Amino acid sequence: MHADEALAVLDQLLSHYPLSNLQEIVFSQVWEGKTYAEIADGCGYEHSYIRDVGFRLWQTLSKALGQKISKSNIRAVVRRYARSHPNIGPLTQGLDLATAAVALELEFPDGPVPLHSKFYIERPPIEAQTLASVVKPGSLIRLKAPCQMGKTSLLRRLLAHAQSQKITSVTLSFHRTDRSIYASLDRFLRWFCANISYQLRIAANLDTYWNLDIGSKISCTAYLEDYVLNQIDGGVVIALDEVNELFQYPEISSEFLPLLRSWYEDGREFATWQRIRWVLAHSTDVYVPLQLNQSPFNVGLAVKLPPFSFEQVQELARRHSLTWAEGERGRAKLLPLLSMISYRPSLVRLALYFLARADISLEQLIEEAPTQSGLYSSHLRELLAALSPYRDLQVAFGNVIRASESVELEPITAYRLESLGLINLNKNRATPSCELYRQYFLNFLPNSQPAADV
Amino acid sequence: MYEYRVGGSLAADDPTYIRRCADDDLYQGLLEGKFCYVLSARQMGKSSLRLRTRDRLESSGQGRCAGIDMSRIGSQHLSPEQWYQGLAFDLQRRFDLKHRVNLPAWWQQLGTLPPVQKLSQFIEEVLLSAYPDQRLFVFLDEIDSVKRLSFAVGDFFALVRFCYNQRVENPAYRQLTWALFGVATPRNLVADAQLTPFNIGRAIQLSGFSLSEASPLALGLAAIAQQPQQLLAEVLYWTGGQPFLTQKVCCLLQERHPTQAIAAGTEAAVVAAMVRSQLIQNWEEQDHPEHLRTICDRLLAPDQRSGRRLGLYQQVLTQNSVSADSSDEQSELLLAGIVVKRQGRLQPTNPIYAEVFNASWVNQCLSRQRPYGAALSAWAASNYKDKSRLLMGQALKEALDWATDKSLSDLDYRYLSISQEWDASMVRLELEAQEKAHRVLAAAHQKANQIIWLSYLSLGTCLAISTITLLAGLLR
Repeated sequence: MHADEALAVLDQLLSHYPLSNLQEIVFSQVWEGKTYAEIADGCGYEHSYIRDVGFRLWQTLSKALGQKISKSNIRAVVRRYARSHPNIGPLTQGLDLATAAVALELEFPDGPVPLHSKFYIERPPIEAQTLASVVKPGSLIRLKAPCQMGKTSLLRRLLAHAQSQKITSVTLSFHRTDRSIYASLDRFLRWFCANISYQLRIAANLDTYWNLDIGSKISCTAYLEDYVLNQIDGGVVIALDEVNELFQYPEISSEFLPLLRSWYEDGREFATWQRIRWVLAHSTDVYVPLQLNQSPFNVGLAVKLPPFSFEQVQELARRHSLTWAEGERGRAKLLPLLSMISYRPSLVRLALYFLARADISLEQLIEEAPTQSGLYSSHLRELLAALSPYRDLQVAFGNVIRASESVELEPITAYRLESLGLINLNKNRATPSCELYRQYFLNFLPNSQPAADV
Repeated sequence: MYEYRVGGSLAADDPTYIRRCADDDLYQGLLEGKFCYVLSARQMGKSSLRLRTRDRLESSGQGRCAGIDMSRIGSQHLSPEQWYQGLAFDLQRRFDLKHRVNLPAWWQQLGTLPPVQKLSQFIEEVLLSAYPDQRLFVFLDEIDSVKRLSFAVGDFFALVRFCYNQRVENPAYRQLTWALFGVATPRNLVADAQLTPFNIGRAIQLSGFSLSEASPLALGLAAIAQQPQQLLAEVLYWTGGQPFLTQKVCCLLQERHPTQAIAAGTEAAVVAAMVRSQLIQNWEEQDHPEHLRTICDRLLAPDQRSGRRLGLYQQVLTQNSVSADSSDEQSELLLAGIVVKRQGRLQPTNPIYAEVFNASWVNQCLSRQRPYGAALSAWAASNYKDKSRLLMGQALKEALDWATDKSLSDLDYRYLSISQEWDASMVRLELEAQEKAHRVLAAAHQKANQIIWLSYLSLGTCLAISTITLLAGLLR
């Protein structure tokens, strides 16, 4: 049983006493066999405080389960409880089987990490926090991270967790949409409603509710409230992926984002709207000027996905059966690779996959990495293709990779490069996000010499 | 576990909701049927107050309530017709009258009547007649969003006033009570005193939490401190009772301290250290959810009053109190939230704002705003020698006007006073030059006169001689 499934059991068991974020973190990490000291180090709290949180949690659980609970028997007791209450966590057995089936196989790391994959590495406390939040009525989660940081993998886990709690889900990705929907606010909101209806398998019935005489924002609100939410039972997660795509269309985003915030606020007032849980995933900060009280980026749980820690990389290596990566010697071997790819989760995973297949040595892999024939070539070519229509981005990124210090960029350019994951931003000053990109683009960025030098 | 709420509005049953004077003022006002308005800075708890009051009215059976978010009705490209019908549509939904009339058809049959009149008829014929024996409360939130519409909505405010005036003639209007919430001044919203409902309404003052009001918040501190009330008092010292900051500081304390870790007597030091490290230092990076940034943006908004506003704030900051008037700059500072009015005087809202937006911060902002910035830098770059960079004439006059009411850096004053001296000396030189020119001219004039007199004299002499000669000739 995974920690999050055990948490789901607890949610049911303690339905009148929802756990705090910290309690959930402590629980799930104890579940995974960590000591209080390790948990405290991991989340930056005092050791004694974590012990205390744990102690009070066991007390609460002891009361709820009617028997003495401690760190040592928690796994056994919760498992026994889940087995004797089969209506709780219906996915539990299924998950364990699925996990077992893939246990020994390698997966080609193409796109997000599959749901039950053993190659998904948790980054505490993020998973526990977001899983707990996504099932709370009326909640809003914001996931911010550039590409290649595992945003979509986490998003899928959130939705699967919600589904295991009988919460329906809808995912809209603004990246995949046809550009013509951004032509007007009305067009966009109609697309938004039609898409939600479609994913919930409800016949789209826009024209009954759409009345241009009252404007599209109200029509859209009425459609969702009076029609869509009326047709479904229970809660729904609406996940919006690549929200940053919207920022390019200020005419749309300056109306739609405040509308989103007002729906979230309606969740405080009306039971109907409380049934929606919002998840917004985005790869840059919002750069559309929004009033503080009208911005959805100012409420809810904000999560910024960090790169892996060294220990997380070692854990992933262990799951790939790469025994040489263990301990201090393993650290020394891995470090040159990690400094090249800046601990970025998807780049780490790809490298470990190739190393585990043993058809390449670590040294060769590092040497070929920034070239056309290296293991990252298709990823790098994609990035190059993403830059190719935009001369201004090429010039700006060229300046960043040639400079020895951070470079000040015009804000919109900076955000566009950040959303591709190419740069790190500190205020308006940019540095290359990893050495791999710097080396590759130094060679392959067209006209990479600045005009002045020619 | 006691959870603090940092940002966003609080649901009516939220245990961290703090009841203030405003709660009863508003509730009483509405029960008396008064037009009430809560206009204050951001994140002062307006929307939470609205939700709470609504819940109180409904659960005690006082009537039906409708909360309408005005920012949702409006958008940039909306026509007045769409806006008014949108408002009618939301009123209809919120009062559960969806099936009473088919609004688009109803609206259409009124033909070319002005939209405000259609809304007025809607209120009278649809709304008031639907619930003849119930009171109806309309809460309009985010009222300041009407300023961003592409047309003026003075008519709408006039309609609100009309609903009150109408009570004498048509008692049905006594059912209806309005309340407005937003970040604006009445004058901002409606300029015309004849049309404005604000001068017949009741302003509800929303102040920060006092210690006795806030005492429920100590519940969440009980686990971490030996003296939770004392700890809360220290929190309020720093936040001045500002709701968002008070919740945020409590939340940070709760997150960062183990059980009973804060011993009696150490409260002040603990809170001060935490506020400094988590809020004040590097505030731009730590301002999540956003709070300070918005205050800063409002203060520095690039409009024609921004210099005067900053100057006034500087006075409040350095003198710690300035007597209140109703000038635009003062209301803007109050709406930004950076100052509060206490006993007729403006004061910094709290020590957190005063330390984040401190004297040196103000100086930096002023130096970015000064109208003579480029000239001053060039003069400083020339090692204070290049006199062509100094201000003169009209430019100097404008700079001095701008500098009034502000206290600027020594460099500014040095530059301005040297410019003044230079300007004065240039004027003096010019005067001297003029005088000299006068003198030269006068001398020349005198000389010319002398010459003329001499020539008269010689002419006269010649005449006399020639006359004598002539006479002598005749006599001979």
